[in-house]
Amino acid sequence: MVPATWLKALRGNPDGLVTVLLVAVSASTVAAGAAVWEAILLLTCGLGFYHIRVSAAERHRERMAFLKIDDAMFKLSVTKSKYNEDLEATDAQFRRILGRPRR
Amino acid sequence: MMPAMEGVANGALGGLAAFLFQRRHRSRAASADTVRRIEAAAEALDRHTLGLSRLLYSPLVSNRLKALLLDVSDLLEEQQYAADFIRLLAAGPKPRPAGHTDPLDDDFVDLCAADGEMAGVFRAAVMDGLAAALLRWPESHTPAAKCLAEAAALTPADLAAIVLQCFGPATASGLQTEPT
Repeated sequence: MVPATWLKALRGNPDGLVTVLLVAVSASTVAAGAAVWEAILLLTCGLGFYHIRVSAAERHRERMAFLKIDDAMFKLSVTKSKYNEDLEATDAQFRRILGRPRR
Repeated sequence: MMPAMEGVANGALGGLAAFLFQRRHRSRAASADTVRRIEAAAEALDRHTLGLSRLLYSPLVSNRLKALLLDVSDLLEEQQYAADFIRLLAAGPKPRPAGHTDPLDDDFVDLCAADGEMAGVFRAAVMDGLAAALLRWPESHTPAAKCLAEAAALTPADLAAIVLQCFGPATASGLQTEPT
């Protein structure tokens, strides 16, 4: 049985939960008569697959965050280029009317 | 299996599991930290853009201040320039001769007098741009707290001096207030 304090610590901690489960399964296989190397292989493969899967999700979240930065940079460049265009248009107007740049 | 052997096997399994768990835990913490940091940088950039769009179209803000703000914004977009800017910022502004006044400072004083809120927006836009750069590239910077403290105390003229140092006088759009 898993102690109550462990259960409390494992709440909201999927990595810990998966690790404890895999250790329990591996220890059970050893108790049931399997070789130790088989149990170690089971544990390593289990945690390895879990790591690969969760890492992919984390990389996806990071990519999404970087996309937010790209989006913010795009908005910033649009704001600046729009202002520059407005400024140039105004300046061209001044030049047309006054024959000199705007002061 | 003998009980002693089973104990050793369970110990080995526990040790291996602890090692793999620690690796996973570190990886998760690092990823969560990166995501938090980058999202905070994106939010700061959004605030910077919002402040910029308010200031650029405000008739109260002088063209010199607008040009300075655009230069600071351009600077903080590029990692190398941002690193130079922050290094110079952390070193503090160069002392100016006593009694020397700069038109940028005069413009800012006028802006404060005309509309205190807009002056606050100007300061916030600079600080948000700086915060975004610090959050995006934390590896290339001196302590962020020192930079932010220095930036909060800078006058627009000091800021312009740092911008000129970063871009170099030949390329600074700086302070060129009118398009040619």
